[in-house]
Amino acid sequence: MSSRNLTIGVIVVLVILAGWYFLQSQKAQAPSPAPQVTTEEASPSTSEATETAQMEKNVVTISSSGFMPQNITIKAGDTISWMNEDSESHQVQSAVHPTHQLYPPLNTVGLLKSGEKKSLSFPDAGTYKYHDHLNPSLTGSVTVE
Amino acid sequence: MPILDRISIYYLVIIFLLSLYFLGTFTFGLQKVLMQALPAVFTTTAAGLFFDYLELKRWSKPLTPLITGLIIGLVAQFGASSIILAIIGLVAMVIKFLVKWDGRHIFNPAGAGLFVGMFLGSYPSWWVGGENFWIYLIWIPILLYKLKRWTPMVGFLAPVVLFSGPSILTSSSSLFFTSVMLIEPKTSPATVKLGLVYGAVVAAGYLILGRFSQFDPLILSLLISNLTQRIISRYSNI
Repeated sequence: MSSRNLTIGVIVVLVILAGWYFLQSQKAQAPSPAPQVTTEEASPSTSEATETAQMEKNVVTISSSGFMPQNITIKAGDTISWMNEDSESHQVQSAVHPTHQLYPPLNTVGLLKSGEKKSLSFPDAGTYKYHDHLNPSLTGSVTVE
Repeated sequence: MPILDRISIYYLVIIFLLSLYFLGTFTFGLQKVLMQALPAVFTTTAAGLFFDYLELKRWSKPLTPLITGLIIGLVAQFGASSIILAIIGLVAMVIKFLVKWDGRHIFNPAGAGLFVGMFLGSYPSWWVGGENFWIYLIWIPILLYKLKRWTPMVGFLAPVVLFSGPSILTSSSSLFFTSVMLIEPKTSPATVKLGLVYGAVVAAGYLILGRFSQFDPLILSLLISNLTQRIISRYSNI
């Protein structure tokens, strides 16, 4: 076997192993069933008043020091609101930085200017990590039971 | 295309990068965008002029240092202090001019500067002017027409899409990385086979390092692949 073929073979094996490792670790973290994009509208079985009260409870505030609470636990189907109380903009995106591939629905929260608030409902159980794309050292997570 | 044929790739890249800054002003405001760009651009351009003069004994247009500075401003942590951005720019140029093999620099200069910046507490945010997916639909065909360096892009994107899904194709950060940093002419291979290998090594690095590394997986895997492809091209006949 020539050194060229050997090198290509080694690279192919490395890529396949890396991909296998990635898939295995994703399986370990990903919720089941697969995540779905959801809207913030109330489900038919939930009254508007209940929905509003629940959203007020599940609020994550954003300041220059990060997300508060950093880790929040909710029930499947609940909605979380992110409220930017900082004077600067923040951008909520799914892990992993910078490609945000673990839970793409979180990317719909996106940019929050000062004073802005956005919400997202989580229909499925699991742990969803996110961060501020503009300052990736600020991280948080949502645990859905 | 006659118009594109008359413009050098360097000017096209500069126009593209300035377009991203321009788009960024709509979201973040002119002042913040300028504060993000100017410190790194100033130090890379000044250092590039200086080092070029030392090497060539004449003044030359600092186009590539300007590009390096513009890239650093778009990738570095948004809102980082001017001093940090300036240091990242300076480090990028020092590494470019001092760390060489066979007379050519090994590492992507912006990537090397941003890597050192992480030790200074500045983690790359890849803000790249905001989420402007559409501009890459214009930029990537122009780039491929001019540079014809599609193999690193395919070598990187194919395994990542295969193993982690197609959402990477709509991420402005990853499109910026793929169409600006990954295909940097001096640190990426020109041949088809080595281009695919180079892209695949970046993909493998990204998929693994994204799981457990404290460092930015794209930057770190890019630097590893810069070195790997030089070793492969030096010691094998790919």
